[in-house]
Amino acid sequence: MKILVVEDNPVAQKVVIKIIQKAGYNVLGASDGLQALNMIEKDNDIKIVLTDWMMPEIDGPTMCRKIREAQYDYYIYLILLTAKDSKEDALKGLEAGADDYIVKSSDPEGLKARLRVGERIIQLEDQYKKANIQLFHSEKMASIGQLAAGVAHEINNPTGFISSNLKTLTDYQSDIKDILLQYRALMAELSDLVANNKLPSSIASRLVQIRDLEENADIDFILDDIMELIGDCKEGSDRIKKIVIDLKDFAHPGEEKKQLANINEGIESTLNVINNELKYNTTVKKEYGELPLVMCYPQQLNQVFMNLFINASHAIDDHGELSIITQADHDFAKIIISDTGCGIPQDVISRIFDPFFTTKEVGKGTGLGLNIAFNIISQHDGTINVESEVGKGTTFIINLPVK
Amino acid sequence: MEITILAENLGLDVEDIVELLELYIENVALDLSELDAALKAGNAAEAHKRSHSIKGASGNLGLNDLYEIACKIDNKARINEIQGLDYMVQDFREKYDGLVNEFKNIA
Repeated sequence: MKILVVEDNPVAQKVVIKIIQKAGYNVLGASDGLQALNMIEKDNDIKIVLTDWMMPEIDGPTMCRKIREAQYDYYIYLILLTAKDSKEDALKGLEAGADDYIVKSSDPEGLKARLRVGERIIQLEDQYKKANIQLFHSEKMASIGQLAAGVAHEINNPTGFISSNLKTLTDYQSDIKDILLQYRALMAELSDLVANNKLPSSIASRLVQIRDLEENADIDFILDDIMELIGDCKEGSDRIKKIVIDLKDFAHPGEEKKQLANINEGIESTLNVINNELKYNTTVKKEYGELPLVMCYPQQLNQVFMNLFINASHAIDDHGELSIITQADHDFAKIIISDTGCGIPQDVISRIFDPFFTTKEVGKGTGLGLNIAFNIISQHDGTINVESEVGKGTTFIINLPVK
Repeated sequence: MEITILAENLGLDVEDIVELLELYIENVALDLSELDAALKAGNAAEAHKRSHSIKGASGNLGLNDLYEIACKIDNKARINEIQGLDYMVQDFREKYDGLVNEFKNIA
């Protein structure tokens, strides 16, 4: 966390900076509101701003108002520095969005105490925001779960009679084919009789008609194709059943308690659910080891896998590989997820688990996926580590305690 | 002026105060000469800007005597009453020069 002191008077600025530095904080200085706003825009580590009232370009209250209007994803605690005789001004500053005010340097201990208050407020704001995000995501997952359960119920019945009817159709088709073969044998015999003029001409012309119809309809092809069509329909209805089951397994509706779960199955159902996202540019390679059942919130872990798999797919430009290895490691289940994507530069790798940190284009990423993954794994007393090389790819290693 | 008292009041080291006083002397010298020029030219806005700067620097460093006079100058300049301010500025300058001499002796 950094503190920014905004003060146009160089002496006043240096006094405040020195007092704050002495208290162990990381401090920056700006000599007017405009410069301060630019610095805040570029450095999301500036969390507390102490600002003078009267300054060239943009004054303190205007700057406070602009910071509040900018609606940063994190909270910036604003303290107005006032002269001993300007407390009325300070009240106007509070209305403009400042959180507190302090009379300039006459009370260094008071200044430090107020910075500690600021730190506490920022911490509470962060916790509140994180809790809200977690709540939002768990509610989203619960909704998906409920939706999946509803969809499963609604789809299972029609899918059931489609499967059953397809089986009956197969039987009918086989009977029809047998009878048709008999008819054809009869037609061949009748044709011989016609050739020897042993049958009336009306039967002869009927036989020609039937043969023409058969040829036009390509009945031989139809007889073969019907079975293939029924086979495809069967496969389709089986896939519908599977995706509904996977969706239910993925979301685990109504399961909010810790339970023993099979991690490999969780990964598998997650892969099936997001198959559409991966199939165009990602080849998935799986090496499932024998894992003991893990005491966990399966729905949450599936969310971690989903976030990591989708990130991997986004990191792959043209075509690449996503490799998933699971193995038992003493009392831990180890999950290694690697991709051959663009990799993460070293200067940002330490920040990838921070909330709202993203390298994706505006609107493509919220910067929450990895933060949520990190929080979920931490809640399971596990660890998640990352290794990456630009141009080669990224590997996430998750260790989950079995109990 | 007791540097150790200033340091104690601000919770800083003596070396910090020496550094801050050097910066103060340099900045206030410039502000004072600009303030004189503004008063001579009858420019109340500039006089207010400079007296406000001197007030801020003095108050922040805890130089109370200088701060009190700077406040009076600033209050007058703010409402465009610059008549007779040169006497107050003179008073300030004497105290400021005293501080500069004292600081030179200490340093």
